[in-house]
Amino acid sequence: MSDIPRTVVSRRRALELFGGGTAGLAFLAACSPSSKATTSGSKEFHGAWPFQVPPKGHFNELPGMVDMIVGDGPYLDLLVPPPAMYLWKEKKYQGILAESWSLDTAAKTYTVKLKSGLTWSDGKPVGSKDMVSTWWCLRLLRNVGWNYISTVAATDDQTVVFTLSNPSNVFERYALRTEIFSDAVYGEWATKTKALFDGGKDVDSPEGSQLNTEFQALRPADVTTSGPYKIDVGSITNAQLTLVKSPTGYAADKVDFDKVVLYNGETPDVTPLVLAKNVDYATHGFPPATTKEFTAKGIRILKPPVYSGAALYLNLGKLPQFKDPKARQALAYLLKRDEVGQVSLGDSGKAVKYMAGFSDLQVPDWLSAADIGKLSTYDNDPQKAADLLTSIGWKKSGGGWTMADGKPATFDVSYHAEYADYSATGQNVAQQLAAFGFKTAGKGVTYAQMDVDLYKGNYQMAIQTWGSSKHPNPHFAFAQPLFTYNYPVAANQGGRGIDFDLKQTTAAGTIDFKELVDAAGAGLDEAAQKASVTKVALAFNELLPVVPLYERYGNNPGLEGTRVKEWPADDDPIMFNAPYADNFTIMLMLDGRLKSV
Amino acid sequence: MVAAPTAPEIRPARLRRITVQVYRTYAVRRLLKAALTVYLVATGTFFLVRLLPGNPVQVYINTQMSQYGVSYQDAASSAAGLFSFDPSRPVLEQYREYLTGVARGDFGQSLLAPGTSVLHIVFEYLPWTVFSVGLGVLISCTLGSLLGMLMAYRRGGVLDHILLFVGSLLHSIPNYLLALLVIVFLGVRLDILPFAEMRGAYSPGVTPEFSVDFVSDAMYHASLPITVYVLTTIGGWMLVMKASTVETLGEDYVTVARARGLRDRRIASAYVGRNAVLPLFPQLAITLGFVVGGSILVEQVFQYQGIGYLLLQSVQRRDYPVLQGILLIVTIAVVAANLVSDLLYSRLDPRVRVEGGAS
Repeated sequence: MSDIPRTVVSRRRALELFGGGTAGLAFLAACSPSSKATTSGSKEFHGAWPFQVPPKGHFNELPGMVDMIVGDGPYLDLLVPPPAMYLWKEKKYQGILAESWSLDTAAKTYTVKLKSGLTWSDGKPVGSKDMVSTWWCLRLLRNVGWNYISTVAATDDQTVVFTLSNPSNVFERYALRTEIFSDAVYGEWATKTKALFDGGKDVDSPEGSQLNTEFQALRPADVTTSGPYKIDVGSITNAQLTLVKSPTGYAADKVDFDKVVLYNGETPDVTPLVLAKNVDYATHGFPPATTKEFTAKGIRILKPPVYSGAALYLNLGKLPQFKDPKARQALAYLLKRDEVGQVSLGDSGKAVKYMAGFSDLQVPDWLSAADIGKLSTYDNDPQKAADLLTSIGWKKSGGGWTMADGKPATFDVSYHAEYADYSATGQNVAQQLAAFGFKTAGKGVTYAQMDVDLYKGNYQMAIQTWGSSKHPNPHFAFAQPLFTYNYPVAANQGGRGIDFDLKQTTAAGTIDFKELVDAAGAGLDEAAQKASVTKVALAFNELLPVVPLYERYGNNPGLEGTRVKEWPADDDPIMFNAPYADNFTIMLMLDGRLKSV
Repeated sequence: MVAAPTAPEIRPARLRRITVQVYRTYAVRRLLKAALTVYLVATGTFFLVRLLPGNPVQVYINTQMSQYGVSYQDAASSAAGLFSFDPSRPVLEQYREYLTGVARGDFGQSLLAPGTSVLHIVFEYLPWTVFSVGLGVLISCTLGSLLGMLMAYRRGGVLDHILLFVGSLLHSIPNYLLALLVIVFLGVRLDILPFAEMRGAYSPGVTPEFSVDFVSDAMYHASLPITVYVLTTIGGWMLVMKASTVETLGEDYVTVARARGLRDRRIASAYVGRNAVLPLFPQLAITLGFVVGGSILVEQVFQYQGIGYLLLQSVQRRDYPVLQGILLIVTIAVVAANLVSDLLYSRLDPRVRVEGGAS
């Protein structure tokens, strides 16, 4: 046996080498994308939006569903445009699928006439039948628009008439801004829903509940679109999806991009993509440090107004010393609102000027110049703050304040720990109050618990949103602090929120906020609404149920020169559109104004 | 003369004896323990997820309000039309319903995607994690063992010091942090990594199938998470293997092998390596058991369609059934794997079966 000649490389060693080599080569070959992968084209727009992939994500895109692919973001308007979109600067609607719309105050009806000659991606014509079916399905999903109407019907192929049960010109926004979906997909469900209600039953009945459950399980294979794009279903991955041109869709001849690629992800996931210039536009809430990085990379920051911001909420149930408006006014005088805004959002956090309870940008639209003159702007004046507090029995001794009841002024300022902007706001407010002489500490609370605490009143001071970025009518902005985070709505969660009594006395006399805020959004008479808005604004300014700090402007990166030629100048009227309501980028694309390079 | 016992007197005693005998059977004991573990996890998970602040309805409403500026009225109305979940229902009633469903193999439906079963969702995500983390652990363990042995043989030398430093450094970096560093430095700063293209589990336009093209594509997309898993765990394997090898090198049988004049290569592979690697196996089993926990943030960073990504999303949105389903399915998988390995091990080493009772 020992005579058997030994080879330099044994058979075992050769097999090992061969196996190892093959595995190595296979691994190297493996590191390459598939040849079937969708390739980039020359005229692409790259956006970003978080979405779910199937089986969770689906194409039942009606408002009110969740986990729809694309469904809850601005890009849905490229697939299924609404009848009209609002121009926030001009304060008027621009027709998209609608040719005309009108309110008949005498007949209490609202009529929408759709354009003729438009077709769905399945070749069927877009008409009144589609809009009626959409609205019946929305009723099954308890859409708020149905709070204002009793029925909806088509009077011809293109005309839809809503009968108003609760007349309000607020309904106009629901009628015009709600996307229209295909009757071919939803007609059957609309018929069932109409039959349910015609039979005297509603969604709370066992039959209604069953129908609702079945509807939510509806999973169309695709979105039948009327807009310039449709979803390339095969392109959907956990990382991105692609919208491709739908040649017969509305504005297909105007949009200048052949494809829209949407990257999936929340702010942290999307940030590197923006930095690497893979994304042309994103609506995510980027913190100031990230925004600076974008700017350093030559990425333009678009700053559309959001018509809302952060305010200091005071729980009057726990801090009865602040029930006197002078104590709240003192806070408004002592806090440097511009500093809070700058720290929280950089140039996108602008100090609130009018303290009227709704966006400064809208104040001149709703209040006369004389009434605006009555609004106190609470310019930073620590001495005035100290005088106001002293006048109600507070005392400063040594470096700290004691309240009228002799207790030291010691407060926690709670904020959403995960929200970069609100964390910065809470900490800065706590620091400013401490510098003034209050013993104050910031308290980060996990976001889900924070929302619960705000309703239940488990806080002393807190940072929370004021204003409304979806509805132009100030009614919605007033409702946020006065109803939602106060006892009318907080009671649903077993708390009293800020616990601010809605019946108050002002310099102008007694006021019932509930009555006036409701009146601000009710009826068909805009002049009457303005009168109510003025009364609420003046009272809000005097009583400060919450202390508005800053108004948020978007910090949307807008990459120019890579795939998109340029965005309009910052003072262009379209750039005043609220990005989460009537997104300017979408409207620019539909108008053909946003050009590829 | 002893009277014959009557039948009713015998049966309970015999039954008890049979029961004790059956219980003492190793396989049965292991099965019962596995079932008890699964039950305890199912119960614990059910109650723990409900202790999270906020319920799905509240989280939905607050997300709509805070992120999309939707009014409370609109959000609450949508939620009422959307959720079949009723937070006011007695928890024990929900618990009973949940356990009954689990016993039937029905893990329920997602609260946020009504009509979609939890099992369907979980099995869309789980294979990607098993693939990426499993491969990462295998590569890390193999490479780490080889490097650990090398360190032991060259202990005190330059190579040992360098590898020790690199291994300790990598071991101390959390995997999600390394994932972020990879993206920021290689993807953004140096622009040498097409990470936008590499996100996800496979490329857009590609259909999952058993083909070389698809496997190649999946490997391409998994390469970043796998690299991160390997780099952040290899240090541990290296250090354990080094310690084990050093200990083994001092054993008498190694000295004897050397005295017999065996070649170093043969001693390293047949005597040292085989014995030194033994302590690594329990650690490997434990590591595989934590597949989900270790992948959560890495999958989020790379937008990789794995079970960790799904788990994080479900926690954030309080999708109770999906959350419970993921945790329970992973528990069942780990318990089943342990059970199988115990049963197999008992066949290999009968002492395991005998210990504590008759087989």
